[in-house]
Amino acid sequence: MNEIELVEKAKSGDTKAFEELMRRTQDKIYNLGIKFFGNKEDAADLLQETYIKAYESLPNFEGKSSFSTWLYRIATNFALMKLRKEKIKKVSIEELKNLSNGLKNSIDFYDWSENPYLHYKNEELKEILNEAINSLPPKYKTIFILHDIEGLSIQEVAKILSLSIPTIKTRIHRSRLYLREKLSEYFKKKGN
Amino acid sequence: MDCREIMKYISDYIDKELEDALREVFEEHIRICRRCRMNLNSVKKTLLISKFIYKEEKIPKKVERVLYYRIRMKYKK
Repeated sequence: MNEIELVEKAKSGDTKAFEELMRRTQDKIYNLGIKFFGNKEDAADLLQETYIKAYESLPNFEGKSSFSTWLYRIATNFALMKLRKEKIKKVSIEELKNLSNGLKNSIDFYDWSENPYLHYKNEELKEILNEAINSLPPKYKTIFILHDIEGLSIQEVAKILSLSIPTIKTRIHRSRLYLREKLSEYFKKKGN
Repeated sequence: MDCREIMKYISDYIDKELEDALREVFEEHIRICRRCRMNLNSVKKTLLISKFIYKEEKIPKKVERVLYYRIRMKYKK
């Protein structure tokens, strides 16, 4: 049975259909939680809150987006509330703006694109990037994860977060340059 | 298009969001400018490494049990 049929059945009270929708999407939502929070406990919370909210809101689901995009929206809103309460020090929007305005990049850029440490199995590199992603302001972080990690289109991310497409593009660009900057710092140190 | 403008369009280029004419100008600049080529490559490689940070996992059985229990409690309300 396809997703649209299952949604229709679930909306008319068929709990088996709702559980089938859950089964098809639950690993995705759980893994999204791990990416947002970096731990299993918060990911489990996100998972439960997302499906409870989805079940309660199902009568209002109009099918304008796919069921999984709608779930992403619920999950992301929950994540944003939680991420805003985090105590981790965040990079300022000002610094992100300066990077993308060219005030603090590219001029003395250190070329590391052929560095032998640049390898996807380099755990140190992944740790630096993970920390950098976690230090992005919540909306920047969610946009980066949804677009660059989960592979959602800019249009989908804009819908999920109720933001304009230019806003999404600007934030993606700033986040990427910031993460690139963190890797540049690492390679500069290695180079010295 | 100068290097500063190229920098502004790097993400749009990666996301295939540049219109044809602009993309051609961008690619021509990248071809002749080593520094911008390095900039583009380093952003691309940052994204590539980012994709390897997270490992996809299955939901732990216990988490799954709690999830379905809580949802089924909702049906009764």
